[in-house]
Amino acid sequence: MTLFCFSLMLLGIGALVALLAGKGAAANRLPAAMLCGASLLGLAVAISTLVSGRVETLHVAWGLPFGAFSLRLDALAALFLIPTFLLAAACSLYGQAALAKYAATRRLGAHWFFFHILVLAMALVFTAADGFLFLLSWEAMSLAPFFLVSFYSDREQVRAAAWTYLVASHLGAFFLLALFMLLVNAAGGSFAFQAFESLQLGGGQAAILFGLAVVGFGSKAGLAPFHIWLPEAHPAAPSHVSAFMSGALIKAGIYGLLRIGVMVAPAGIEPGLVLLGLGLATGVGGILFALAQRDLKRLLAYSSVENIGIVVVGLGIGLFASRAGAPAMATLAYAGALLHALNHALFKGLLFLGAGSVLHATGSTAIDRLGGLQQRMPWTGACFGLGAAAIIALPPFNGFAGEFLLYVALAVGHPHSDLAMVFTSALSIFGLASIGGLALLCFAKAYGLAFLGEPRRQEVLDAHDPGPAELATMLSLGLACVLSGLAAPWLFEAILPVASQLAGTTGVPLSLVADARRLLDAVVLAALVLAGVVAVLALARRALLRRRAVRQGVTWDCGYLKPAASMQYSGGSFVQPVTFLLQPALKPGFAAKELQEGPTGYFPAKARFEAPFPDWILESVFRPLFEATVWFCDHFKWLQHGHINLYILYILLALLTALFWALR
Amino acid sequence: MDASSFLHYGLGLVLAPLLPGIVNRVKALFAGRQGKPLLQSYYDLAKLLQKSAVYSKTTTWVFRAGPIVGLATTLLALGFVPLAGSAPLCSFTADFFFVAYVLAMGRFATILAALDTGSAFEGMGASREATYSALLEPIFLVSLLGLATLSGGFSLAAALNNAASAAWATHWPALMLLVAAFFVVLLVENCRIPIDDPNTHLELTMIHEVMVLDHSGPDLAFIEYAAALKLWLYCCLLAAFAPIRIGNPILDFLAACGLAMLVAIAIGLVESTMARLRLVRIPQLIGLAGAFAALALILLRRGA
Repeated sequence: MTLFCFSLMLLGIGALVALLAGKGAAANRLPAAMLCGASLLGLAVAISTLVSGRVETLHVAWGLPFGAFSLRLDALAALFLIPTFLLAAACSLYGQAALAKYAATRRLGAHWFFFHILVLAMALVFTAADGFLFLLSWEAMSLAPFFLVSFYSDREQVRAAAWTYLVASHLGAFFLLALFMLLVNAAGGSFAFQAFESLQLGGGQAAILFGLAVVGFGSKAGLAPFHIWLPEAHPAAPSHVSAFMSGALIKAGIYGLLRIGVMVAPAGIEPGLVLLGLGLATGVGGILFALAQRDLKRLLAYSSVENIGIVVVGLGIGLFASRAGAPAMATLAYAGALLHALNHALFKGLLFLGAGSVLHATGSTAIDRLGGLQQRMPWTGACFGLGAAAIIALPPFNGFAGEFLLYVALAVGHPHSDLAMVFTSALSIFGLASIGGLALLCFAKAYGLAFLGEPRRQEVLDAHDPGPAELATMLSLGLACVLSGLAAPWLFEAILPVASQLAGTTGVPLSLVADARRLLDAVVLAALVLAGVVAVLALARRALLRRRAVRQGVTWDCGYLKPAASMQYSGGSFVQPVTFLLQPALKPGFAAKELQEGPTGYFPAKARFEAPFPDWILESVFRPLFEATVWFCDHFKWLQHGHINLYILYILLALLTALFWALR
Repeated sequence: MDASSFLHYGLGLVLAPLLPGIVNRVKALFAGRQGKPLLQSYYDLAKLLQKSAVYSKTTTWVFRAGPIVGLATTLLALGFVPLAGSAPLCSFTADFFFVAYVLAMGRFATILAALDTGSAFEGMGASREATYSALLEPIFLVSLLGLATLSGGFSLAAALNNAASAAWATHWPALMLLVAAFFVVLLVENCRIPIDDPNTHLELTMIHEVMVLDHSGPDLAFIEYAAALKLWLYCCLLAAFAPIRIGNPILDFLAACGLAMLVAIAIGLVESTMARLRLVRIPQLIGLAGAFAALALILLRRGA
């Protein structure tokens, strides 16, 4: 705990240093280095806490009337601190290199100040043992990204995205405020988590609390239909910020669901089914929208929505199974969800940083403007390809382990006699496999069209890999993806105590859970065999082609000898079969139609075609809601007229009202 | 895993290229032609392995990795499929999820290799392959889940080996539905008519063949061999449904091989008697397989 507090202090000091720093290279490098150092220290503490399983607490008196400054560092907190600190370290390293070009003209200290505050606030959110401290940290954690997202605030789109983020996160925070007020009320005025845990909640009350938790935490995590801020904020933010937000920040919502949501969930299987349904909808919807996107970072943002869906499916199954009397299924599902949340931080961080390098090298992340980057940016391409293979859960990489545990939980975790259980499982397997298949399509598009083939635009021709700091960050995250894939059995063992605690099976011997470790061993072994077979085949081909004249030519285009880059398949055409097929889910009737202006006249000069995929949840649910709010508030504009004498009257009236209320 | 597992695996590696020959022979018979020799696939493979290769200047290592990963993943997946009631090379609980994702990895590598050429045709094939396999993946897994639930064995080997001995008498409707679902999966995964025509001459209508237009020499041999192995894998899967167990390992093995070849003949019959579906109709066929699998699950639960 001492070391943990020390790293928190370092973050605080770093924030102050960043605030005082002016312009220049040092104002960029020093705060970033302090962030990296503090995060690495915090990472070491978090890992040792997870491995040792010890629980540490800290109480410090503070002068505020409510709550207490009490921290509790346990394995669950450590599990969420690990990706936070890991990505903070990686993103500080990458960010300082990416921002170096602005060092002379902008005050980068402000950027690093908010990054320090964000990491500090997240560390407090994960360790807070008091509702008041939790809400305070949550607020700081929600506010800081607003300033990080609006880094390029000279662009209209970025400002709009930052506002969308701010509004969405505060709407979520409003539900949390209500949740904690009800909890504190039920606990007789105590803000301590311990007091919440011992509460005996009635059915209706618990249902309301659970609903508030799902909406409040779900909107932070990006659970559909509260995901609308993600695809706006992530593309607008600098890439190292998107990487951190997507990999670590949205996991705070998952943490909240685990710490508070599971605690207040009403009895019965329904809460689990609600989470499972929301998770499946989020997963399938997220990946469908992801594959329709034309911008690489927007695609990645929607893919984060999808992955949060997979994690919430795990939580839902865990909650459902622990209530339905299938302890092994519950334990494995929680373990799968936690493992996937951890691994997602690695590969999504890697993918966002890769997209950032592409943006830096070519000035664009529009898939239809890229192509041929693998030849020009071989290392970035390899890292992005590896991240893509990991995110679609191909076996040697880390994405597979978590999903495999979910599949095992669903297929063999329960006795096959309960009808509801069998059909829930079959439906979940169907959903997860659909997500898997569509994710393959989506990332074949993301990697295949942006990095392979011929460059579609001039700007791409002289693209090159980024500098050593960026490359080192991406390569280490890539290595982490491979290693955590191979270390899946050990990671599973490290996570198991947390999962057992959540499932309420601590100390209960479950043969399936013991088997799961061996299954992961077998998976890793088989993956190693696969790597061996690949190596042998590569050597065999090499031996076959030796002493033969291997020629180079143009791509075979069925006899056409002058293939051009513009003849390649585009992102839109690549996903056309599936978007056509799944049109009802993607574009219900009211969404925008394809826009076509055909060439006209005898000498047609210009034609235009547009096939937009607006988020229909945003367009049809939230936009009318926001517009109605604006319309409603418009009616009170007469209160705000600019006459200072009347404003003074308001103050007087307010004071008088307060006086009468006090003297009443 | 014992000596017979290795023997079965090895024989599978040797016999696999026979299946495309059988399919072609059946089609030739129906068309009233002499047809290619039964062993044509072996000749083709031998010829391709002796050739050199031509690579497009557009391509990178991703293109060269495609055939290798495709073959390696098929080889690994084949290690999980039992033949004639024996234990396969490797098997563990819930391994069918692993096998499905390993096969997906091969598909991913093939799709990326196709996109690496920058050819419009190969992009088209890649797009179609990715779409149909995305639709097929959940149906394949749910069918396997149905089979596992029926047989009470939750690895590929246990599910298939028990399915043969499982009560055809009590569960025959569910089993029939599963056989139909698996047959559709086989047709789609192996690019057979009515989904895809491996022998067509118009690139615009192809799915799988158009993705490998640019591969030559040993690379093409790897691809062709992987395709033959995949056909063998799925034929063995279907053959395992037939409740034939003689008791003698050699006779059992011969029976299983015979059954796999019967499946190949069935494919030939389908190919000879059906026209290709329009591309927009293929999802409906896949959906039909999904409906069969779902119905089988429902019937299983009702019977239990």
